Amino acid sequence: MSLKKEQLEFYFREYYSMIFRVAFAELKARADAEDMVQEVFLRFLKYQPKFQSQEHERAWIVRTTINLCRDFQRNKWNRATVGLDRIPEADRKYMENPLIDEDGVLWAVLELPEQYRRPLYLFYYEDYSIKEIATALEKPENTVKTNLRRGREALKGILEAE
Amino acid sequence: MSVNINGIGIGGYQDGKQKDKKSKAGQDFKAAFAGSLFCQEEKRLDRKTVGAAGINIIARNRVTEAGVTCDSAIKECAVRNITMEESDYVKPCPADGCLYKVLVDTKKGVAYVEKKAEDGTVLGYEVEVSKVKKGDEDPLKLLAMLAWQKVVEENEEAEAKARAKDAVRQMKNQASENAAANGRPAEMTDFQRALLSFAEFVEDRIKNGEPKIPIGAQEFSETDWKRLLETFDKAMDEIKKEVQAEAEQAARKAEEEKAVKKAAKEKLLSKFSSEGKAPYSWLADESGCITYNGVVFSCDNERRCINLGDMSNRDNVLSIPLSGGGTLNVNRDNLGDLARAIGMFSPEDVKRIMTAIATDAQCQRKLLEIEEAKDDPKNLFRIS
Repeated sequence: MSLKKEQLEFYFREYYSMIFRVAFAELKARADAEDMVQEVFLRFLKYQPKFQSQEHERAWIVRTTINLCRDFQRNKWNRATVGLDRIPEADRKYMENPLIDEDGVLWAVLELPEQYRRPLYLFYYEDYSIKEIATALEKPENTVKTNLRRGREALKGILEAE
Repeated sequence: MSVNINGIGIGGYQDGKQKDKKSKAGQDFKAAFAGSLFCQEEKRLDRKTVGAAGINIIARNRVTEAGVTCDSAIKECAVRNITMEESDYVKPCPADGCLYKVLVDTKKGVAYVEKKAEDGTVLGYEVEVSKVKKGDEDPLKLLAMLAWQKVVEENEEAEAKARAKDAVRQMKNQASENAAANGRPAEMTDFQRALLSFAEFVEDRIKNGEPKIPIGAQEFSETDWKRLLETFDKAMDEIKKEVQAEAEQAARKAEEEKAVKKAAKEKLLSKFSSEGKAPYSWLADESGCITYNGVVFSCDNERRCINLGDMSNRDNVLSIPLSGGGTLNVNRDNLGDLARAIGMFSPEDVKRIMTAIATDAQCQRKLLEIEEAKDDPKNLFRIS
């Protein structure tokens, strides 16, 4: 049974911002992040996955986004170009989540290595549970907890250095 | 009704407080009431969390048992598992290992604070905003107050918007009524029209924010654009200063090099300069003698002359002025040595020397003839 227009619109409204923010955190460029959002929804339309729960749905969305970002970065064209290490200050507004009172720690989180950055961002800034993060990143829950703890220590190091 | 504080009972509290003994009950009470909620939280975190989606059943059981009171303003309660979208205020604290979500109930005057810890455990608290004292630094109370303030401001803003809309609607209605009463078509005064357009402008700004202009691949509002230009101007000024400093440094360096070159040139030239020095003195060694082809000339800087041979008998010395200034004094007996060293002199000086030697020879011959004529009066007037 194909997705109805209203259902697709619902998913788009519900997840567009979150997908954009996750992609932007990975790629650090607005145009690339917008391309990833389109790709994720194209995949959604193409495969129309059946979700067992909302947890499963959220995990699928994040996993697809991260995988597409990784493929994009490994792409031959992108290997020939130099990516951004940090998000330029003028583009930081695209990461703003109107629901959150952000005090600048987010930029330090985004500087962490990806094994810490992804779980920290999803846990604290997208309110994912440990189980959802484990499903999305295809890692055991204990690994996610360890990475959260180590990420927090690394973050403290960055903040103290600043 | 007995007060059950942290499940210990008032007896334990009284024992501990009045007798100040380190009884188990008193000590437990003191430890639990040590000042922060965190002691209690850490105890609970040691226990297992059961149930799906992080629901803390133990916390729920404690609530149903006793209604635990940690503080007069804060009360632990059942976890509601609110989402970020449902919350009025969300504060991530990744450095502290927790995420707070706050939901405000303005009617009851209570803020529900949900704390998600790093290990996934979730705790819920209710904070009575009216009991929070000014200057209280408890994080839960601070968050509750921030959320409360935010919600109150939003409500006031919404009320103000609604009032403005009502005022505009009333103005329009009044204008229509006035016109209907006077039998004329409805029209507003200039002031009402201006007020209406301003109200629409403010509403549009609040709804959509500043208008954005697409520039290249990005969009900028006026404020963003001004900020970007300021940053750009600042960067340009700094670059200009750097370029200017570099140019000044380069000019200074060039001047220094010029001065050094000039000094070296002057030193070199002074070596060849004949001012105040004997001619050909640059060929002289440390002792002030010029040696050329085995012939030794002595330099006299005071008289500006070079001497070849014995200078004691001035009658036997030939003084030849040189083209560069100074003189060459040569003893007639050393003309052979002069011939050997003739290559040292410039062509002009060679010409002078040869002319001087020829003239001197002629003079010597004439002198000899005069001497001979003295002896023989007949030869006195013979022209040779």
